[in-house]
Formats: sequence, C-alpha cells, structure tokens
Amino acid sequence: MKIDMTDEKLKQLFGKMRIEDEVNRPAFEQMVPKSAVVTRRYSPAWRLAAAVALIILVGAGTAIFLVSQPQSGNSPESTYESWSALSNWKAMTDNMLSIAGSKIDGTLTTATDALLEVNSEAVSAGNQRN
Amino acid sequence: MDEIEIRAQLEKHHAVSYGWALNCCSHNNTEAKDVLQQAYLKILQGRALYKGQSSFKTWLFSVIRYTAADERRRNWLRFFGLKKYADKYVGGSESEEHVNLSEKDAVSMAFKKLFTALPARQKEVLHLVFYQDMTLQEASNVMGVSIGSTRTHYERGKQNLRNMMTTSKVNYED
Repeated sequence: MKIDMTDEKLKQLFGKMRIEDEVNRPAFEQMVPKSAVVTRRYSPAWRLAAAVALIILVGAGTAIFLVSQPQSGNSPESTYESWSALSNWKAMTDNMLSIAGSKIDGTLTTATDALLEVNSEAVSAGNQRN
Repeated sequence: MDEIEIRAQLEKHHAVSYGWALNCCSHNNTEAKDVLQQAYLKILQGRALYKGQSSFKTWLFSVIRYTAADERRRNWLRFFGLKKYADKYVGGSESEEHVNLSEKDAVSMAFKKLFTALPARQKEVLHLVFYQDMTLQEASNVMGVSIGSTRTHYERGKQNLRNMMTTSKVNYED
C-alpha cells in the first residue's frame, strides 16, 4: 500500500492522538492539591553534610564511651593475681620427689661404699705398723 | 517567579504537559499521571527552579522529561521483577479493548502503536513537532541535544514511521 506521508497527514494523525489523550487527562487541581505549599527542602549537598556530621558524631560518642570504660581485663590487679597463681602452682609429682629424696639419704648404700671402708681400714693398719 | 505565577503557568500548560508526559512514559496513562504530579511538586517545592533561560513551556517539558527518566531508573528493578506478569496483564486488557473498536479508532490505535515502537529520540522529536507544534529549535532545547542532531532524529523518525505504515495492513489514507 502506498502511503502519502506528508507532514500534513502526520499532523492529522497526531491531532487525533491528542484528542484521544484529552479524554484521560486529569484535572489540574487533582494533580496539584492546594496543600502542596512551597517549602524549600534541603538540597542534596546539605543532606550529605548532615549525614557526614551524624556519622562523625556517632563515631566520637562511641570512642568517648570506650575510652571512659574501665579496662578490667588488663588492670594491674588482675595481672598480679594471674602471676601469683602461676607461682603457687604445684605439680602432683612434687610430693613424690621430696619423699624419694629423704629415703635415699638414710637407707640406700652402693657397692663401692664397702670398698671404701676396706681401703680406709687398710690405710689405718699400715699407719699403725709404721 | 512566585508561587501564584508558577501555578498559573502550570495550569496554562497542563493539557500539553500531560500529552508530553504520556509520550515520555510510552503512553502509559497511570505512569504519566504520576510523573506529571511529581514534576509539578518538584517545581512548586522549589526543587526545580525556572531561571528564565528559555520559555516556561520548554523548561517545563525538560523537567517532565527528566522526571520520567528518573522514574524509569527508579523502577527498573521492580519492572524486571514483575515483567512477565505485567506483560500478561497488558496483553489481556489490550485484546479486550480491540473487541469494540470502530475502524477509525483502530487506525488511530494502530498509528499510536507504530509511533510507540520508534526509538526514544525519534519519538520525542516527532511528538514535539507534530503534537506540540514546536519548532525544531524548541524541540532541541527540550531534548537537550544540538539542532543538527534533532534534525537527524526528525528525518529518520519520519522515514521509519513511513516505512512502518507502508508495511502495516491498516489503511491510513482516510
């Protein structure tokens, strides 16, 4: 089909479209209620600045709170307590060591002890002869 | 420009603004109303300021165009999430609409469909020139592109529309 697409024809078609669109057009008053007063809202730059200020404020508050808190975990008293607990600690075998030491001192003799006694007697006998 | 004057100007251009909002929203009536209302509020609340560098109508059209673009960007995720359901819904209502259409309405609707299928820039310039009776210079101001670029979009848009109308089965000659 050959179409005579002059500008006039296009204008006609767009004109029809405009008339059809008019049917659904809402009233101006409906679009802009009277309560829509002119209020200057904060610009995006102001909003950004406010957000940054808020973050800094919260950060500073948290830092102050943490610094003011007593650090119970690292106090000198707690360190001393943990060290003294370490020095007082005794193993189960410590008692065994002390018992074993006392018995060895009093009772245990070795084979060389008898030889020493023999040698000392011989030395004293030789001295008497001289 | 004070509030009363701005209101008067908005009211004066309301009819053409609605047509332009429809064009910016791919002829979606609900979306066009939302966009137009947002644009009006943006102007009345001082978030968009008229500095008198162009005519009020040209400036207003630019605000509507940017508002529609913002709205599209804001809703793209939601759109893709619900696209399959939206397509189904739109398809259903459209077929129902076609049932009771007269031949004259059918021609008009077919033309609107062809026009909607054009690339965005071509659609914009053809709407501004033929629907809004603007000059190419005014259209270039609204679109924010050079006059040369606007002229190119205008010629290509007309050519594309002509080709689509020739291949379609609808008789546009009456």
